[in-house]
Amino acid sequence: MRTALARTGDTVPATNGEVSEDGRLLARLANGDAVAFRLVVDRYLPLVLGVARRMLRDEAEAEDVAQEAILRLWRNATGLELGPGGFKPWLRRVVTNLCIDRVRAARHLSVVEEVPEEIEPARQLDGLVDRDLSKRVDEALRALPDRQRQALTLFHFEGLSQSEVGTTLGISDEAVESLLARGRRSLKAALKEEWRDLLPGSGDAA
Amino acid sequence: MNSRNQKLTLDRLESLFDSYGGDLSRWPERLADEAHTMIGSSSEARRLHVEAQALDRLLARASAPDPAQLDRLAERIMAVATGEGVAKPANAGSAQDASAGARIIPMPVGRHRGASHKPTDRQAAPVSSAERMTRGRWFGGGSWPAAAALAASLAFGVAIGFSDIAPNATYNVASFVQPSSSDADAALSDLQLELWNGLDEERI
Repeated sequence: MRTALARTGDTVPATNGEVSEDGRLLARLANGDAVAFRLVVDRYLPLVLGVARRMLRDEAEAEDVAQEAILRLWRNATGLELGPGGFKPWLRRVVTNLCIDRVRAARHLSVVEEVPEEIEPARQLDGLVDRDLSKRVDEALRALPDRQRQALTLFHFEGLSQSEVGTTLGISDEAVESLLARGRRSLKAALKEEWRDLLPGSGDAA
Repeated sequence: MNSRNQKLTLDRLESLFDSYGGDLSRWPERLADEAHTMIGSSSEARRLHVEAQALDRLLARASAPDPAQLDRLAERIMAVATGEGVAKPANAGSAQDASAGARIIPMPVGRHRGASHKPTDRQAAPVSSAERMTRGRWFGGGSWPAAAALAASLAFGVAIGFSDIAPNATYNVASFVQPSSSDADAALSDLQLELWNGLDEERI
């Protein structure tokens, strides 16, 4: 089974039970059942917000996008047909597209596939050994060019396949491979001390 | 870039680890098979694999959304969904509406930063094709004031033309541009004056 890097469990494939539960919830949403909507929000907001936070640099903007994605489900429940994965793929697609639209609208997204090779070093890395590791990883991810960060988010954190990432971003499989390689290479360089600490035999290795 | 017809090299293997990470189950199947073989036979390949797995573990430590943030956002979403009358009656909407899938929910005031404003359903009242044609084709879309101004200026011009102002003005201008005051010029000016006076008489 394929696994992704996210710890939140949001990339675990939906079980049959979850999918059928999603079907029941969808029927209730279509009837305007706000209680059912709250269940959907509690269940899927971590996934939706998680994608938005990783794809966008701005926390408030990520919240706005997550809100919009979830509310689209509520507003469009009538007549919506869920695929075999239930709500999860639908929401992931909507929030991903919203994020891409946001970045494109803000003119942060290059229309060409070539993006700068070098990463802007995360400012807080030097000399802040005691700083929370998660924050350092977040900083390094945010410092990546948009396309690299989007590809990494979809492939490594959301568990999409190479071709699914290509379809989502509108680029070829080869371009996906290139973006992923450059992104990880940049992270590897920016977080050199941190990942070395996680090597087997080091004190911090998990 | 693709080594479809080539044996995997260490450089290529490193590049693939950079792309797909240390979990070989995420790799394209054929490349994963080759990588397995190489890892089994090369200490350098094993080193690269271990490093890629360490980076995977590090990236997995990227922060998840804060529970308090999730709670706050969930409340906000519910407030929007219920507070704006988004909660619809059972018979509201249609499959056609839902299939559109692109309706934008208005954000709460002060929270919708940097987003392009889309009209609400109420604001975006349907306009018939005939109405659109009338607005857009003939008057550039809702430009009745411009048309009225045009008509008014036309009427004003006609009124001026049939008033006493215009002949005099014409006469004066004719005189000015013909400073020679020759007999021919004077005759022309007189003729113009008579013509305008005649028109005045007809109008009266």
